[in-house]
Amino acid sequence: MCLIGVSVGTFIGVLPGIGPSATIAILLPIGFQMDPTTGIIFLAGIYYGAMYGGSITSILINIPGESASVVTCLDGYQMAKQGKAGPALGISAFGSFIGGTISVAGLMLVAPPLAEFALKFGPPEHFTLILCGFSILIYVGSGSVLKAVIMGLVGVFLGEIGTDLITGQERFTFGIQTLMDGIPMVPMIMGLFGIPEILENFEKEILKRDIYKTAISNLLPDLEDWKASLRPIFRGTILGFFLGLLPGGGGTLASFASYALEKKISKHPERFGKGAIEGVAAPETANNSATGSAFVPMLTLGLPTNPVTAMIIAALLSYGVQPGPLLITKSPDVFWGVIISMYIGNALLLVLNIPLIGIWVRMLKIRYAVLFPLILLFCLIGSYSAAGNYQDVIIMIFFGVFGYLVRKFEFEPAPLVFAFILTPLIERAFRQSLIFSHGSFWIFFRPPIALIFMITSIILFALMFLPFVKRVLLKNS
Amino acid sequence: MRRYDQISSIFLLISFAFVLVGSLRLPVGTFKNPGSGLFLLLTGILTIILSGALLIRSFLQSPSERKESFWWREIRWYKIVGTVLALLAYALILEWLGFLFVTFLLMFFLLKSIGSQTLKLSLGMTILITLSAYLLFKVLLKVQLPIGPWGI
Repeated sequence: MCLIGVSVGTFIGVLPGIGPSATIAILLPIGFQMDPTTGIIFLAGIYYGAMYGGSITSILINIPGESASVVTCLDGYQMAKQGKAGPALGISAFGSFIGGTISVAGLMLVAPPLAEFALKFGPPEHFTLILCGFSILIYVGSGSVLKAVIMGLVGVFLGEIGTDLITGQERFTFGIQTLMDGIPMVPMIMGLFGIPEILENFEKEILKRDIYKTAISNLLPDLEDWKASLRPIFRGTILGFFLGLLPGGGGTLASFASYALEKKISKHPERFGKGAIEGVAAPETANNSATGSAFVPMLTLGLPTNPVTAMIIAALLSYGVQPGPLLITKSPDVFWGVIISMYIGNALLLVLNIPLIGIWVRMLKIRYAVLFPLILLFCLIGSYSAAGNYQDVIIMIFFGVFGYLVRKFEFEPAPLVFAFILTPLIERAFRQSLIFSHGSFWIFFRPPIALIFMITSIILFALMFLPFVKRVLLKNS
Repeated sequence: MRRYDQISSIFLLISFAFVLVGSLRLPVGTFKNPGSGLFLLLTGILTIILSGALLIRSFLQSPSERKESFWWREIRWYKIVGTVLALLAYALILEWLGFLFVTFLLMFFLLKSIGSQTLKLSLGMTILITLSAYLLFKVLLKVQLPIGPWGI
């Protein structure tokens, strides 16, 4: 199943127009047909397979397969134009393998002690942790802070629709049976991520792509390539690992940060953008490293750091597996199964993908006009099969249109999904905390853990909103 | 864009005004004993405040030098609307006419009308996709898909 997952992930990563978020959303119901460990291994394989696959199109046709491979276009495509497509693809594969493997080792070392530490958390710590995670997600994200917070609050509202677990009170169900258990997660996520990309692709003419025509040879980097790439790979691994831990981090932020770092410290920064191999090695290593470390908060704290891990959490919850500090003790097969599969998956990516590059290049010739009906069909079947209810399909379509409009009005859906998934936890933690403290909000400043999270959140929100307040005051003065 | 922010903030203000009213109809409780409506109420209040801030911000922004035009004037919106309506129709008639037949209709419509493929290619791909999906989901993965009046 790991092999199938990485192959599907690479295939999806190769195809522009559909990213790993949409793929996982679409394939979630297939994952549900498997047992929890196998299903999560399959979905995790798709995630890091897509990180690798996206680099192929970046290098060969200057179109990123997914957002984490955008920066690879800058130097990867230039290398291909200079007849060095082979070494570019090769160093990308090796860098991804090294970054991914070391990151999994880091996951193995960091996760158990972090999970043990998290067992000390009570309701105030849970509440402030989620608030802190949300503030980091918005702080490192691109786009308007105000809009991101609003999206998060919309996500909280959507997460509260249904029956209150504590009192049994129905909230905003309007008597609709389907909404009694809340908005179904799978159709909503499929709608938010699977449909808008397709609708956006209808807006533009799909231009004819210049597919790299020369035979790709010599995929093994030579000594000079390795000399130039080794330190960027090392730095990319470390930077990617730490950025992947952050909510809002993940492959995209890691790849951009890594590229910027290499350019900054390079003795010849003018080479970047003109075919510098470091410009391929570093970001590709960083994005795979971030992929591994994103599983740390997801598995040990139940905190998603990006839409993909949010969906994997949704999958775990659907299996009845609660991610968090008790996952290692209650479901060790899931936890260690995922880790071992990541070692195997990274090795498979390296061993399989280098010989299969010719096949991936041929995949680029699939017309989008033929591909999009397939994607829609997967979304429809997926949302129907979750509960055998046509109303789930309507919910999926509703959120598809909603997701499309959200993007057109320049909002980001990621904070909404983050908040939606965590709302049951954060609301329960909030209410329990207030009951313990007899209504006092000072419980959320309880030292040491809650206090640290709360202060961090306040500082980040202040940093985010200060420029806006300054602008308003300047305009009025 | 300014106009986008104005429209979206007004929409949010109106929507969350309803949320606020709805949450007050639920037992809000007190901070010592929070009810099922309290968190919703606080969410609604915060959203209204921030949506108001977004609206104010949109008025404070200087108008863009280039002419602001809405995105739907610049895109092939009929493909988008057509696709959404087709998906809705699929959802509504799926359990009535069965998976195979309805999928066949939808795929043909998407390939021919939306994807603008030739009749031969559309028909060929429709048959291939419909049968492959049936084999994969119904036969291999044993997903419960609706059977039509024809028993398949």
